[in-house]
Amino acid sequence: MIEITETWIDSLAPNSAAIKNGRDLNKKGKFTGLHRSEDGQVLFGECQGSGKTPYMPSADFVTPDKPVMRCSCPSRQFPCKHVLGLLYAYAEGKPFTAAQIPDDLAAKREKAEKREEKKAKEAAAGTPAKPKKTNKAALKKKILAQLEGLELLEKLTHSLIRRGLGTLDAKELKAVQEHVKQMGSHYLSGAQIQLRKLHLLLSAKEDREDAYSRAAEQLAVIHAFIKKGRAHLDARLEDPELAPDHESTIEEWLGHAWQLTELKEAGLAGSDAELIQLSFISYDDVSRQEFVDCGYWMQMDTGEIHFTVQYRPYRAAKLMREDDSFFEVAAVPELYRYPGDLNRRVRYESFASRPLTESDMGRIRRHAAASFAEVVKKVKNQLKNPLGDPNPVVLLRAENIVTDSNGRIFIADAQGETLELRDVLADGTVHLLKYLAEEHLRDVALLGMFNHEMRSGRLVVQPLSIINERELVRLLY
Amino acid sequence: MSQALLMELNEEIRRLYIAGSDLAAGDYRLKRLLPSFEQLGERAPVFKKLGEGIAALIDEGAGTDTARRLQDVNLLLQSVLRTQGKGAAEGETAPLRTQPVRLEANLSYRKLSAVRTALTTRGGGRHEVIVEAFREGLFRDVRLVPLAIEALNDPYVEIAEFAMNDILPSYGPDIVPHLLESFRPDGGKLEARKLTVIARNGGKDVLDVVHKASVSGSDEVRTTAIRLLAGHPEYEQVLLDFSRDKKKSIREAAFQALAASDRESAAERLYEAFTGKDREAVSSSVMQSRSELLNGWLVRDLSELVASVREGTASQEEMANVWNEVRRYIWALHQKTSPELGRLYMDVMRNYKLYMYKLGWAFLANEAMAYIQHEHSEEGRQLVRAAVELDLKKHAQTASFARDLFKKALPVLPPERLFEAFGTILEERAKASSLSRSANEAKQLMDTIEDMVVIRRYREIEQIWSYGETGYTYHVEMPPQEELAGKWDPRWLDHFIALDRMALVSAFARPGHAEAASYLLDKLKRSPEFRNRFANLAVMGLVRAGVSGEELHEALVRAVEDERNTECREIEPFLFDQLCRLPASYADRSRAALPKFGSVSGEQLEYVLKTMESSNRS
Repeated sequence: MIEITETWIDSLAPNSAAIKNGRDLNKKGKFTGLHRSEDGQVLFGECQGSGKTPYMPSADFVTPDKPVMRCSCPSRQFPCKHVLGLLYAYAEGKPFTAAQIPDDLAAKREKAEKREEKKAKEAAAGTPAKPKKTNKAALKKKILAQLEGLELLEKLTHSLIRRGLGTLDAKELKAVQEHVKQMGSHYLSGAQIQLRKLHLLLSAKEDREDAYSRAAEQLAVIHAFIKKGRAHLDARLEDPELAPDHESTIEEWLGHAWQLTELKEAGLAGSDAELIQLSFISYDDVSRQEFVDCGYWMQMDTGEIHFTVQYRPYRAAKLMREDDSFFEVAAVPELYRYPGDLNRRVRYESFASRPLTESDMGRIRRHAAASFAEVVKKVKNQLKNPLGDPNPVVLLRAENIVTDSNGRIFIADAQGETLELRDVLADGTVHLLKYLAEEHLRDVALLGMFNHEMRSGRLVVQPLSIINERELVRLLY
Repeated sequence: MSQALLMELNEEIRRLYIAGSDLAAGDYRLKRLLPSFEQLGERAPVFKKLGEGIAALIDEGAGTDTARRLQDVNLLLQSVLRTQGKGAAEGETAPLRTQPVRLEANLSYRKLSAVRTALTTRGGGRHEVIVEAFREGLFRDVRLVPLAIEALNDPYVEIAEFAMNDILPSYGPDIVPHLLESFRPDGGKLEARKLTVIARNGGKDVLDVVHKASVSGSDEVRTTAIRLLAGHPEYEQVLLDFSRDKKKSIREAAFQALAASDRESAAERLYEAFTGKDREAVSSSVMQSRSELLNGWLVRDLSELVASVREGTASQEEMANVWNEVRRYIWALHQKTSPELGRLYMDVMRNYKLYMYKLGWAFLANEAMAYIQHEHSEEGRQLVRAAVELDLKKHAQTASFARDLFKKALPVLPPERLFEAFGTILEERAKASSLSRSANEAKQLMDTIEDMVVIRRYREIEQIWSYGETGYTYHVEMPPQEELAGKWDPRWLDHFIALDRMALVSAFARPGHAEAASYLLDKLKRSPEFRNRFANLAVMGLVRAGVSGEELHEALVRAVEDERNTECREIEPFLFDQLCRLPASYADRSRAALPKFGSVSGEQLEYVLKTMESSNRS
């Protein structure tokens, strides 16, 4: 029999509203029929909707790891509330009567089965995936367009700088916005984001002084991007056979979306990795025009801190599954790593999970960096690259958490080196420390996000999670 | 030393970004910095490069290239500065001491963020989310504690009070130090709410803080603190002192706190205020006080006042003053009981004529009557009866006779006597024209009775036809038939039929009264529309009249079939219940009528049909 827990169903739901709606359907008894197939592989039912005929949600567990959810309702959310409600009813232990699978569902299953067979046959026959042929003329045209875009971007920033940020008026801000659009038609989505960020800073109404400093920083980033991008594109123009650069992040800056096959070809795929999520955050990134769900994970054999990221564009946000904190250990058969520095973006296509145990805490803690001096060196090495991630995340071993006479809070390592704790993200966590008990403050591993504050010249750390011998305390999510 | 220099350069660069790079040529401040960079450049190549960059920037011949040159220097400088960040503590440090709140941190982002949004944004629907989250125990997560404290300041009062009364108290004494940490006695509502939680969760340990706040806080905080000192004998003297404060709000708060005390000193002070200048400020506190001592004094005074007017020697002005005093005392003693008070009110009832009619103190007389009716003594009953009989005489032919007096008499007089006293109105109506005075009086009487026995209430209903969802609708309720039979004379019903008051006929219909049954059957035939309230009322009456099942079912189905019965939105609950009891043999006739019913009524009728069919099968 299939085992289903409510937490698992929650994790399937695209967002918390869907969870509530699905539960309500079950609670209010909207299901007029609950059935399972004779072999127990398929759950299906009839659910009263707003229409005359009831909807037919079903969950097909023919491949237990990858259940297939279907429903006859017109919702674009997936899985829809009817499927979720069906699963909640099952998890709750409501009686499901054995019944024949309805015809249209049977037909769909058959089709899916044939597709699988075909795929399996192809794989067995060993027909290698056709090597993707790049259209050289088109690629050249694209690169030229990108170069032209960079030129445009440079011209714009230079004219802004010559004129001075203090005297920009609405007309100029509008010109910046125009350029944001134009970057898109020059295949420079990365530039689009950076320019939008600049636009946001320049049109900020509050705290102008801070905005100027950050605009100057942002202009340096754009400058570096133009220089490095131009060099990279020039090289590719010379040699069209050149594979994408998988060492640095420049491809992503130029707007390239890595395919898993490309990462594999570049030797960035590893097998059998165990991942534990140490922290999670979801935020609204206005310069990307997307919601970003970001999880920080430790790869258990190497101790590296990776991140997973899901972008939910504003326009599709409602229909996409909102990611959530993950509390178990994920065993990933194939882990794909993006080019990057201290933290790399990772992706995987499937995983199995098991519960987190106390011994896992010990394994996490063993990977914590004992010497702050060494960590700071590595962090600064990354920070000095203007195109690098300005907020590296590191697991630090904190002997103690201390405070000075001004009430500032620091973590201290065994050598007595200290690092200041200060909020970096909009979601603050430092103020939560005062509610924690001694066992969460002494001899712990602390996952921290670094940030260099340009105006004060301080290098600070925001605590994201604290790990002691028994538990993982998430200060963020 | 080099970091300071770099920061200085950064400031100058920033200035040029704001002012425009074209102003860089020959900039004297940058020129002044240049030698230091050149000097340091001899040892460190980075400084040499920065020096070169500065030199190029201030070069007069840069022309249109100033922006690029500024960007070059800036880019290099940013990189260098990022390697110079300082994170370590500079002075002495000591281990962080915390005030742990024993909680967890194991909620997922999705669960937490919904509550977080509700607590940090504005807009509708937040209260429900927060209450639900509290019920589910989500506030046991440490990450919500600071937000729960913030919620005390929510502009939506229900949320602020929910945080004060439910969420924060659930953390117990652990939360107190965190509230104390940010407590500012000179603040407003937020601080007053904080103090309330501090006092409730902190026990004896925080009384001192509360006391201090009661002395030195803002007015808002002071009055709250004073009320919080109630029930602590060691602060009674403090409260007594506050009760003589210059500010009225302070005195009022002190009186309220003293009202919770049963000590003599508190009673004395409240009594003093009640009889002195502070009578207005103290009145609600005196009303709340359960002190036997205080209430004894009040009854004693009231007795004297009431007795003082018996002689009838006082002037009109004096009488008015006494009456004002009496009213204040009655309010102060309202809903309190004591043997002395009982004696006083019995005395009033014995002299009902004097107080009610000669002096016109209806408030006193009615309060006494209500009190005595609760006592259930034989003498009391007789006195009340006599009083009502007197009222009947005095109020005959007045406008209040058929309304207020009827309500007063109903619980007091035996059924026959009540009918004799009021039934004549209806008898006369039958003879008189519809424009006469008696017609008006009869209408008033029947409206009064209908208000008592036909109650329409808007309340929750389980919509069984729609998967048991809860909805809201009007229910018609009538008192049980036994109750009506015991309290009302059987003759009323005949009058109601004669005067064609269907709602009253329905309520009073009883088995064996054939005339009522045929009257109601006729009514249902004449107005079978389920959209009107008559059909429901008629069916209620038919059931009360004990009409046989067969006759009732036939009448019901006829009404369903009737071509006038259209446009019903929702069938009323009683009627729907009766339809559900129809035997399966009516299924075909009911189904044929189904198309006339839309909206909810259609669903209801379909449900009726479904139950018929399933009962057929079983």
